[in-house]
Amino acid sequence: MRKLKQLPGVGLLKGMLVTGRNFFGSYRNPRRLVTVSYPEQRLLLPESSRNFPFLVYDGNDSVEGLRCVACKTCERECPSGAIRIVQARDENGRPAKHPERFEIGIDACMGCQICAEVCPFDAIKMDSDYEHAATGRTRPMVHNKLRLAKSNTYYHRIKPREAAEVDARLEMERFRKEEARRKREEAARMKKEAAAKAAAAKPEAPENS
Amino acid sequence: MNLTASGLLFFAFAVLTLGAGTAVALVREPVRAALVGALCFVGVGLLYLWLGAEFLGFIQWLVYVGAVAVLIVFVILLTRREDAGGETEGGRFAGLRVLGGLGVALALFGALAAAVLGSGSLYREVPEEPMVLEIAALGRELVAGAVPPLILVGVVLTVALVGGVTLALVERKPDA
Amino acid sequence: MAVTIPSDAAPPPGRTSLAFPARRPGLTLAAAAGVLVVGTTLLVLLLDRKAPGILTGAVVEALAHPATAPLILKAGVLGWLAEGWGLGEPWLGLASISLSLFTIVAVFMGLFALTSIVERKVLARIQNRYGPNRAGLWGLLQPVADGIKMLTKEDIVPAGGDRWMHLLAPVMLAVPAFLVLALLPYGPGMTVVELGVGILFFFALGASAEVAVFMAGWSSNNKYSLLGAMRAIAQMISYEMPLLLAALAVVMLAGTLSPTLMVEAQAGHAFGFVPQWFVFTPWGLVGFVLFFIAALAESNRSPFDLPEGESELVAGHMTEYSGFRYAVFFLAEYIGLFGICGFAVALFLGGWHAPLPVLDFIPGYLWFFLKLYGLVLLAIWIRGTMPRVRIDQLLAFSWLFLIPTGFCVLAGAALWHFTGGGWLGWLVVTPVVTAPYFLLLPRLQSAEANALRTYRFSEE
Repeated sequence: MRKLKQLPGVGLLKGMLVTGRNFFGSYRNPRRLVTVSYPEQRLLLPESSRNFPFLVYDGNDSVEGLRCVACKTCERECPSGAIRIVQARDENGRPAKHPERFEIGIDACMGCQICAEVCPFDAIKMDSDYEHAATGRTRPMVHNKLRLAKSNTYYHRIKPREAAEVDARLEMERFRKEEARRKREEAARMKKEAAAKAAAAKPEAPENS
Repeated sequence: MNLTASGLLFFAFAVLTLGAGTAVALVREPVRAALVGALCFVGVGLLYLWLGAEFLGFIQWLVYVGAVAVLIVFVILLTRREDAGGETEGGRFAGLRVLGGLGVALALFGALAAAVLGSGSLYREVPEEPMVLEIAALGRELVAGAVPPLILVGVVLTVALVGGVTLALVERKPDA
Repeated sequence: MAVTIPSDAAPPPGRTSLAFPARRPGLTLAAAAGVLVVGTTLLVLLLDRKAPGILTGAVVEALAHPATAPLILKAGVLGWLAEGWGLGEPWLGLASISLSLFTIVAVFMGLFALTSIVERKVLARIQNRYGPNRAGLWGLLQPVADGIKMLTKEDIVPAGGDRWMHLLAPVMLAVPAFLVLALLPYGPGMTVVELGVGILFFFALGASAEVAVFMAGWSSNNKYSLLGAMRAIAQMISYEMPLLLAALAVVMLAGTLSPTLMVEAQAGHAFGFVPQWFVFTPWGLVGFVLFFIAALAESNRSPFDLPEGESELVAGHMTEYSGFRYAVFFLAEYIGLFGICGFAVALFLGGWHAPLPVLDFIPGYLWFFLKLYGLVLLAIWIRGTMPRVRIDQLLAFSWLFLIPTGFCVLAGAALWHFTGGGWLGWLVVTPVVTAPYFLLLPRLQSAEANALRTYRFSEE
């Protein structure tokens, strides 16, 4: 029997058997298929996959909810100069804490993630969307604020662990800020009270003396 | 002279064969000459077919186009050296070389013409009915009558082949 | 595994789904068949007005006698031409020939289109993929899309190449491939050109393919093209020998060079059920395997597709071809495969004969095409399984194993003739034809494994 297995050509026949089994098996059991019908079905990308950045917003409003405060840190740090930010002004002409325009040229962007690293407000994150085909190579390659804005829910969907971390951090910060504000207010209140007490006590003194 | 369709075909094949044969001598690029030579062989095969000798025609095609022409092409490609051109035109003894070539060509043509004319087949009556070639008869003829020359030719060709391979395969010996 | 992630934002404008709405394949197929039947009927009725009754009669009779339907239809059309249009003798003969040729070319072009998609589908399934499934139902319109793509692509002639030879090479390859189809015996009385020396013509045409391949390689002015062409020719010459030897055994026992007569020599069934095809004799079986292996090499199929081995030669002699000329190469390769498989069917697999007497009701030409396509599918299966061989393995395999086997098959066929077949024939012939497999192939394998690889040109 072993002799029979060593005959030349037996290995080739075994190979034919394997491929034949694959052929019929892939019709009988669709789970054998390693590819998916792309536009209708997609594979879930790994959490660490990234290509271009997007802007995260909280809540439902993609304009009001933007976390970005137009601090322009990312614009300064971007190695390829792909980011352009114009800060908004309020009705009095003073700089406001949100961007008027936020544009990323995805033809220049190289997906280095530096913008996401340096952002102090966790407002810009790396997306894993890959369908960026466009009909031109200048204007259509520049994504504006509306196109870049994606909800925190979406962020949770593509990168659950990272988004949860960010949320926890933001929550903690908010809590600390709140705490600090409360303490500050407490201190101010105490100070005020003390001052009031002092003020209440002081006018009496000259009169007393 | 009334030309039938068949006669026209004959002239077409003849012109093809002769034209290709002339081109072999005149084309400068050796590879092109070899390919035109293949065309010439095809023309000869077509003439055989025109004569009704299917077996001979296809054998001509198989052996000459499939083997001989390809062999020539191989030889040209495998032996061509860039530096082995040397003088191609003029030089010393140019006139002598032309004369020599012409002499050889004339002698060969004369010998062939004498053989053809001497055989008397030019004056034979062509039978009205096309001759049907019995392939089995051809085989019997070859095996029965012509065995010694056939084997001799085979031996000579084999010897030539082995000699050619030995000459061409000058391998450098490893240093060790 | 497949998880759909709907994009959060609305899809950008202009993106549409590419999927063909093939929700109901049965409906689509039925519609296509209906259009075909109604269209043909209308066309026949329309044409029939010229000579009333002839065409319709032929169609009705063809439906009644499917076994000889092509012959009846042809006679009908010829009669229609003679009656309705008053065609005379030289033209009628011409019409008869062109009718056969058009039918054959149309059938094989259809088969080519089908195979180009079937091959990709089968290869995909072997690798657990879907394969092309976008253009039309099950991707069946993919050949149309490919054709449009090929036609609209730029046609490049390399600078410094030989323009005319570059143009001529694909044609020189395609024409002999199509000529082979005229020789195949599709059914009783259904050979387009009844040639007494058909098998010889087949080999002569195969020989002219070598010249065409060389022309393609040389005229491209490209080292890969030339190397690929040289390899292709070396391969063709090496594998023509076993092909010829295997065919020669059949020629000896059938006593003829005509494929039609060879098929007729394989008629009948032993014991009432074993078909007397040559493949069911010991020499025939080995000869068939030999023929098929050599056929794969002759038509540049995997695992012998190294003339176009992209890992080392880009695409061999087809490197500098693009657009429609490349398509012609592609066509010639497939048609060549059909032709050589057709000859394998005619020589060894009993041509148009049914494998069992009870299956005789299926027309012979259907059997022929069924067997032919079976061999094509086998070639595709092999392509999906085996890795490409190396050039030295390829040549050694032919010269050291296949050609000796070919001579053994020849000797076996002679012994079979002298013993008159039967159990004595089996007893005598089997050891003769299987000897190379047991004696030569293991040695070849071990020599291959133990050989010290030397590289002649790299150790300067």
